[in-house]
Amino acid sequence: MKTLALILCLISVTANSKGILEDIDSLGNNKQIAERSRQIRGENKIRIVQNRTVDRNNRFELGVNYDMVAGGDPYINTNNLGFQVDFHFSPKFSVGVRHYETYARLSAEGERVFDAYDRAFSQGDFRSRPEVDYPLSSTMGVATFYPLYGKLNFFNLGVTQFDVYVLGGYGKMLLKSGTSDTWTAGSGIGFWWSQHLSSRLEVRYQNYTDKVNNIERNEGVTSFSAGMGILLW
Amino acid sequence: MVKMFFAIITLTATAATAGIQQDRTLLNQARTSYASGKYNEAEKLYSKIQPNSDYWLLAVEERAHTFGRAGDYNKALADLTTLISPVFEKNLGPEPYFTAALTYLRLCQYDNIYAILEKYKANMKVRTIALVALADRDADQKVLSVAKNLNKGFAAYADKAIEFPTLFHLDTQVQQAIRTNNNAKLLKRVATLAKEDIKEISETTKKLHLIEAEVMQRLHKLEEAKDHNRDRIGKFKAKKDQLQFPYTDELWIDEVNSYQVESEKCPKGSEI
Repeated sequence: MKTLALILCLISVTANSKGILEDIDSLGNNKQIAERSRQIRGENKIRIVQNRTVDRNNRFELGVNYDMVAGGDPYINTNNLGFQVDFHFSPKFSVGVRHYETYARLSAEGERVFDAYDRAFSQGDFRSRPEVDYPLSSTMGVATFYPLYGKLNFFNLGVTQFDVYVLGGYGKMLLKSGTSDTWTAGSGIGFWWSQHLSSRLEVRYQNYTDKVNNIERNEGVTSFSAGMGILLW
Repeated sequence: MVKMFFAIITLTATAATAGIQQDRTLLNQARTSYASGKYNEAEKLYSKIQPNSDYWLLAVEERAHTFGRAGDYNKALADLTTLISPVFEKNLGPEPYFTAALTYLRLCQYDNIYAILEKYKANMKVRTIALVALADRDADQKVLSVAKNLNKGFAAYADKAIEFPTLFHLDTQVQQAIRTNNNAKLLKRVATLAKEDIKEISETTKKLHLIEAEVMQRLHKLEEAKDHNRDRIGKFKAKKDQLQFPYTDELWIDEVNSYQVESEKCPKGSEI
């Protein structure tokens, strides 16, 4: 009896399914009505509105970065190791302090000039010794403004938000010859990988005054920087 | 992108087991609030169910319907944009299509109704054929092969969810049959659930025919009206720290459930 009921039920489903499929198929089949409805269009605007994945309201960020530096004294190549502390008042604005330790060495042209001097000196040509001045470190207060944002689909592993920022700062630079005022301005991208991990790519111009043979020179360098940071609560 | 979604579901499958009971409770509370006409309260309860829950799609579906009932068609369309997106389209039952069609009817957006009907036809024909096979016991091997991995939850069959009864892995009789290794009971229960879903498709199809008939009536009235002008679309609202991105054909997984819609309403004098 149970088997018979089951068989009847199954036959009923199969028979009905053809009817259901025909019913589905008949939806929207009145082409004339469909065409007329297209003449009276209603518009919808859709936008994605989402929260920031990383909250940067009233948070400290500590970071380290490495700079490749272009410009300055042509006889010197320099690189910086930087340390920074920023306080984010909001995702749009932060202030902080940056300290750079600068590592300087003679450039190819510098080596050539000093080698030429050494050769000349050894042959009794007592011309003036070339002189160079180079930064040793600098410390600046910096204000950063983050006007643009975006996000990256990171190899389909996840989506990371970033901000494009501009910065300006002022402070003191310690050089071989003494101290100098220095100011900086630049731009970069900050990536917010998680609630506590960040990274930055930055290009920054820095201006200072050095002294060679007691003559002051206005120097400008451009730093290309990559760094990692930790966001603290 | 779709793979990333399924990966997220898999990773959270075991963690979600403890939360399933809580989500079921939230769903029931939301339904009670909805039935009492407390739509705001219902919406808040639906919103508490997180995207990693097996009940999340169902919660979004019912929340869309709640927004429609409350007359907040923009929010209903925002949820429907999530549901009928390419990521979730194949996981849907028939009801979201009806909700979408009804919402567009209320907004006199008849062209969008026909677009929804085309999507409904494409997906529900596939679903009906698959469910009939389950009901007729022609797809027992498919059920048994999925049942082996049902401990992973929805992730075990998410890529072919259209071919199975809605959330059948959460059915208590299915779970008991799997626990006791009772394949006969499992297959019988899946067949019963398939028949229920087929019945739901049939009823929803009839309701969509009614909407189509309503469109035919209203189209004539609208065409005769002198003024087809609709109110200007409203402006998008975002909180201070929220990000806004344009909506494009390219779907990013982090964007589902983050849509905001501003829609053109019916021309004056032709509101339902």
